[in-house]
Amino acid sequence: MANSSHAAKQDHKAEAAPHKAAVLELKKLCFFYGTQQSLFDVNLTFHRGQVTALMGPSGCGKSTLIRSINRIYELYPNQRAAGEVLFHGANVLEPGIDVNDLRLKIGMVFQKPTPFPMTIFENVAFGLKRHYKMTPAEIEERVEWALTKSALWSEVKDKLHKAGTALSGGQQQRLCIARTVALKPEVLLLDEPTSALDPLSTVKIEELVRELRQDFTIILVSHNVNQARRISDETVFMEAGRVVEVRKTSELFGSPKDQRTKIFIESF
Amino acid sequence: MQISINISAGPSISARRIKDWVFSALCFLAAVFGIGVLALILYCLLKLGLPGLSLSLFTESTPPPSVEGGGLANAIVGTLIITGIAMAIAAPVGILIATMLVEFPGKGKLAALVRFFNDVLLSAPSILVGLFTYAFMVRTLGHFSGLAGSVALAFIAIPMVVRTAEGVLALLPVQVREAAVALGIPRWKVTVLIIWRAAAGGIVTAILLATARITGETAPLLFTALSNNFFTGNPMQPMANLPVVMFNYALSPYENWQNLAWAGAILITVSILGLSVVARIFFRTR
Repeated sequence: MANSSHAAKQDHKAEAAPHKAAVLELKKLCFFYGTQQSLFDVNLTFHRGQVTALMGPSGCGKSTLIRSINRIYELYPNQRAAGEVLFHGANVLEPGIDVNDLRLKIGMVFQKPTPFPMTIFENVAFGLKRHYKMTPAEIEERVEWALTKSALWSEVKDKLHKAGTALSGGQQQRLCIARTVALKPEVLLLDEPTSALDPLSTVKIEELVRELRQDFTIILVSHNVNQARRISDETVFMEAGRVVEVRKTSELFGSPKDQRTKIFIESF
Repeated sequence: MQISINISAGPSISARRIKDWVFSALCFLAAVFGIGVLALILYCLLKLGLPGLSLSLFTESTPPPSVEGGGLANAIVGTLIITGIAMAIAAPVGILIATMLVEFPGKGKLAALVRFFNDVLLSAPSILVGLFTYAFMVRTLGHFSGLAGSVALAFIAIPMVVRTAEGVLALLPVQVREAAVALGIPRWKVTVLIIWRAAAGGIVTAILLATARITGETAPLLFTALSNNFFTGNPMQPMANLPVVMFNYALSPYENWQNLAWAGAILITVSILGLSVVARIFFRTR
């Protein structure tokens, strides 16, 4: 653990200046559910300050891909990743890595809103209290900051001590984003964050993602082509566990090179 | 033409109807029989037990034979202490085992083994648990004690807590677990601070139901807590308790003892009923 996370920290300082630095790099990433392989030699680079959308039909491996970046798949004993996931040059798939530290730097928001059984304030403060030694005043300040970043502050500032589960679905999802953003991660993994939400909430989350792009490297899984087109800078099209095409979003949608990409986009 | 078709189809339809009717009637009769037995038990209990209910039941200890008055204070307090200690052992152990089964099953082989043994223990005759506790605790300590009774009851309660709590934990959405882990929080903290909190209502229900179950257990206490004609709060001594006092008094030839046994039966029934109702309300509101 010591080596890799050291390297990560040094890198982080050294390259604060260049805008589109590579933050994450996947090299020959393969993934297995038991004996069944679902990702095949995926090579991809994710840049700072960009939204990269992963798009493709159900089961193409886009969720699997981001689940291997923060090693959340390890909750399930029969799932396994091979290859390299380089975070600032260090392979996070190596056994010695401190996964809790990794997940602090690479946050994740899921399909379904998952507020914890506690107040709105506690939901956001939960991770902070576990990771940082902060005074109550600092925690309050950071909670407000995160809720503001997540475009939720004005709606909840008068009911911070009400249950998080009492919010609407869209608000709950923004609460989950706030909870993750509060930790100030470098990378945000969003796994179809709007698929369980109504259209209005979806618009809010999409606006939010565009806002957050300035501070975070964002990887967004979306099965909705229009969403990928609306909010991403770069789009990856995947099929059957392989990357088919990676390009700037405007180019990919304007003139897809691969026939499979073209068919998929036109089917919407 | 049409009429003749109807007539020829007639017998088989009515035969089917009769079978259907007979089957429904049998189901209904079975239900009536089951509820009837329960009603009869309650009727009998109230008829014979109500006359013995009085305030002195809670204030006075068990009397000598054929002496009027007296109560069950020593047995009530004994049952409360024995059951309390039993659950103080069974609740944490049971919850931890259930947590291991759901949250930390590893590759699943150990979990499957634990689950199997838990099922075996769940259906083990309670007299066996009593004998076992007698052999390893009463004989080792050299005397009967309320504590040995608690340990025996804990052995009966643990598999019940495990089974119910496991069900409750397994019901929690997997996404909550993933979301907490994705914040970089260690697994054990996720379990204690999020999973247990989310499952609190169900876990309390598991504890209440197991408590209700062991409140009336007699066999394990015969070999362990024994009984005591005097009031004691010391779990290292033999301790009076409602089930064993009922057992002894109901078998005795003395009428005042028999009346106390019936009164004790009402107390146990009411407290088990109360616990079950509270458990159900708790489960629904959470």
